[in-house]
Amino acid sequence: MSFFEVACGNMVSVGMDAVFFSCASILLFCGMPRKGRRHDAAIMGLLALYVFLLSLIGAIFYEFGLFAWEHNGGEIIIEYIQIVGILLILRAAYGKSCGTCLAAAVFLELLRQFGWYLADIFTPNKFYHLKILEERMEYLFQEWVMTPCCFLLVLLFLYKMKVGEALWRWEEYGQNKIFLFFMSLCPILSQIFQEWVERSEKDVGYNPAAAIVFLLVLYIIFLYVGQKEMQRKRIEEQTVSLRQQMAYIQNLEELQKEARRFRHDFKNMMSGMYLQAEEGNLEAVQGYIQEMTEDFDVQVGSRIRIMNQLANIRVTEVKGLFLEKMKMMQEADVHCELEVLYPFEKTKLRTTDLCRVLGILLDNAVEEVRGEDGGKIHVMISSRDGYTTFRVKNTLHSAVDFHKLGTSGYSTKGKDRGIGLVNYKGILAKYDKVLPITTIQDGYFIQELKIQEA
Amino acid sequence: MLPVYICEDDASVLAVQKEYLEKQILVEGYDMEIVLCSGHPEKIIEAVRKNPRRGVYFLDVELKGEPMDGFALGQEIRKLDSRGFLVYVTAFSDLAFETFRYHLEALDYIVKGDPRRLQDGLKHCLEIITERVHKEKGEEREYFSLKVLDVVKHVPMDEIMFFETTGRTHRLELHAKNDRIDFIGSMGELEETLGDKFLRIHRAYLVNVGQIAELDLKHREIRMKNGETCMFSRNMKSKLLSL
Repeated sequence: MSFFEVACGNMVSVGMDAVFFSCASILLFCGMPRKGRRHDAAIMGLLALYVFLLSLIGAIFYEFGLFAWEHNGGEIIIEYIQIVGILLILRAAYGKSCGTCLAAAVFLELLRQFGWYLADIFTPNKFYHLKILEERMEYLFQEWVMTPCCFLLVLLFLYKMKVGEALWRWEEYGQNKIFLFFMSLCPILSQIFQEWVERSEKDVGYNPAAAIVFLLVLYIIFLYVGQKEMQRKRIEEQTVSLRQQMAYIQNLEELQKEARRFRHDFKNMMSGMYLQAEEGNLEAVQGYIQEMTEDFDVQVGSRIRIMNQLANIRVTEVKGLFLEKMKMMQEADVHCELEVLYPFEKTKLRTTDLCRVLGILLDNAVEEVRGEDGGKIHVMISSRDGYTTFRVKNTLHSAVDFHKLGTSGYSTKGKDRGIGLVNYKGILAKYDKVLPITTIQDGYFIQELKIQEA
Repeated sequence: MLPVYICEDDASVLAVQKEYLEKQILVEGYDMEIVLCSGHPEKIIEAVRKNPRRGVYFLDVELKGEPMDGFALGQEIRKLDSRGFLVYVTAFSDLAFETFRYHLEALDYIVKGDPRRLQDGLKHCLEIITERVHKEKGEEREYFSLKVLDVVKHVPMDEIMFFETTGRTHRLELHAKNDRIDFIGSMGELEETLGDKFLRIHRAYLVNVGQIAELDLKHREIRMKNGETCMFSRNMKSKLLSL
């Protein structure tokens, strides 16, 4: 075969791989990267470039006999080129961190191999004489029907396994460096493993078992990381509960101070009231009593109230977030109320995502209200009948250009702000039945986040 | 005539409420009538079910010894009377009222500890209700109601700019003057229900014709009155120009 023919042949099979990669990565990252037409065009361009370059390199390798190197050196290099290629494309398409992209790329590469092996199992006769029509047909069948079918099978498997969620969780754990290192060594390790397993059959060059064992090892590491994550979570819970207790204590101390102050006033008021009563001025006495109860309600009641509401947030991380933000608001002298009528126990949103989202909403509200007269923030969490609603409402002090809201770089507070709401939408985009609502009503800016749990 | 219902488990408070409301209705000549006072929520629900009309409800939040609390009672009433006026009466001033308002569209709440405050609250509520009813008679504004999971949102028709599809299937986004609402639905159905005031100018956009400000033929874009833009497809050009 001429160089050109080899390159063209490569291009076709690499193209098929590329289609497989695209589908698998959509499953893996839960959705298409949608950032507009130009972005789509760029990704398509990158994919085409990838297919072209890889087939060219493959052809060169073939021409110069690199595939005949000992220990499959050529193949390993090609695999690495492939992994790096996918990594770059994924990074460009989804904008995730390098670590995540590397893991995803290696994973996809393993899956691709797996797909090929699967096809091989069904057609054990590996060497075809393309000059004989029957064998050529068989080869074409294997190449163009069997393999795509196997790829489809792998994709179906991915879909059923909800592999996207697994990747999420992995992202959430914080990427483990050892894991990444291990993954990046995958092509070399599988070669070593294979030679070790089948010393007699070196000419075959690959072994389905290698990929399976590899996936198994990855799974074990996955479990290990999961356990570590549990530990981390427990520690975090403890820290949050400690912080909460500190906040309680602080509140109690302030309550006590308040009570002391109230006792002082109370004495004064009592003596005043006594005088009025002596004179028989009933109205003034009533006024005194009302003033006193109201004063007490406002001064002491509001603190107790907020603590009561906080106690209804049962998701540790969210409670921690609120404690922190409340403290921040207190320092910024922003009046904030919290309403959690029914206990909020869990939601389908990933906790880190939820905290980020709520953090953005609260920060925006504080940003708007800070330093304004009569500024007020009201937060409501309501979880009932399988629906959860988060609602952050704040007084509006500046004119909001409503239609520009949520576009990158727009903020009422000037330049280099307003990234928050873009991120907000981005985080929510990957969830089904999680609906953001924004409203301006009666001088309030209201952000709602509604979640259907089931 | 608006029927007035009172649900209160404390007989003395109930008596005060009833007496004051009767007096107030008589003195001010409100178009209302107290039809039922009871300590049992079921009785209220039964009465409303028998005669479902828009009514006024004064409900105790904490109903001791009853199978449902004020919130649940409110939910039941809402199922029967979606436009009625719910007023909550509570002993605690720290009622989570925003939650009540959010889920039940409750009108107001009154703290019952001090009789004078209770009376002031009742008086205020009656005033607001009459004012609302009066205002509604004059207003002929059309509203678009859409269900967002467990709540229904009402957006004035003439404030809606357009509907847009989002990246996810069956997820649409409503762009209005003061609202931006994500919800679950289909463009085809919307197109049907909204009729000819709205025009499907693009696969992804359903636009309120009355809110179009200008056409940008060069970029194939429409600018709405609030400054937002949407694309239109080539074959819609002639139709848009003929508007």
